Amino acid sequence: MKEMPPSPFNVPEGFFDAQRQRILERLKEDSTPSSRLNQTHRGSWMRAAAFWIGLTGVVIALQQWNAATPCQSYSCLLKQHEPSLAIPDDMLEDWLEDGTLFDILLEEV
Amino acid sequence: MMSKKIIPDHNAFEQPDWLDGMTDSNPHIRSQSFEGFMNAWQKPIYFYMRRLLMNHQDADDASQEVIIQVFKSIDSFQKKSTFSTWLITIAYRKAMDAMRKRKTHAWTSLDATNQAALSHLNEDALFDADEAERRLHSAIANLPPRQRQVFILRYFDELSFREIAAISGKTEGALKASFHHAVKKVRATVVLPR
Repeated sequence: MKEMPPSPFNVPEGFFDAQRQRILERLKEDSTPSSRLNQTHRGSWMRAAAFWIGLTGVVIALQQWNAATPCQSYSCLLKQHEPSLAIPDDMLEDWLEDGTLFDILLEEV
Repeated sequence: MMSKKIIPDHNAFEQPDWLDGMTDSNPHIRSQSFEGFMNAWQKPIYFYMRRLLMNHQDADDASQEVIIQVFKSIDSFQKKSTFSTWLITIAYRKAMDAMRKRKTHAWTSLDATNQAALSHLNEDALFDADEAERRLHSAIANLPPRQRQVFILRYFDELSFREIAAISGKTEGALKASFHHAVKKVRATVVLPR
């Protein structure tokens, strides 16, 4: 086994053996084969997936039908032409989580 | 200079000998593979978690979760990447979950949060380091979760940004930015006299 590099983090005496034993016991408890579990749940997952796909289809069809209807008011026009942000939401979320956005703002200021 | 790496070096094209035995129908072979896996990875996973979470109990829980997850989902490992990349990806996600769970937004000064982390390390009987190392680890403890992960994988384990991108699912550019910000914060804490 590869020797671990020196680390400032110590562990209690006999910790790794004890942890190994605990893991082994947990693995024995959870020995239900994953394939059997999958089969049991596959039917319900398929039904749920079919339901959501159907629902999404209906929503998209309704939206397209709405968009095709000509606008009679300014608020309707605004709704149909909402400005899109150049930065995708997930990227903004990443930045916020990292504190990067905060850092960038601080640097800009 | 002694190495500070925890994650073992791996050959990009090589899978460990015991890997196939993990899914073998023979319990004796599975048991041998378990030993092989634990000998190779139990300590690296624990110390990876310990560096991220600082606390022994949290690292114990998180590393146990990673190992259980590996054995539960080994059937889904398709060998498109190395085993170590797949394993570290699981560890990365578990660590993210653990860090997010106990995330505390300290809207106090950086000095105050660093002092809090430093006093926590000083009180930890299982942490044995000199002043510089204490400062380094307290600075790391104050980084946001992703910056902390990137900093540890890059600085301590010397993984390339490409490898970290494969593990984290983030772009190399985003990771470089995170690392840059992390280094700046760590440097500010370690270099400046208190």
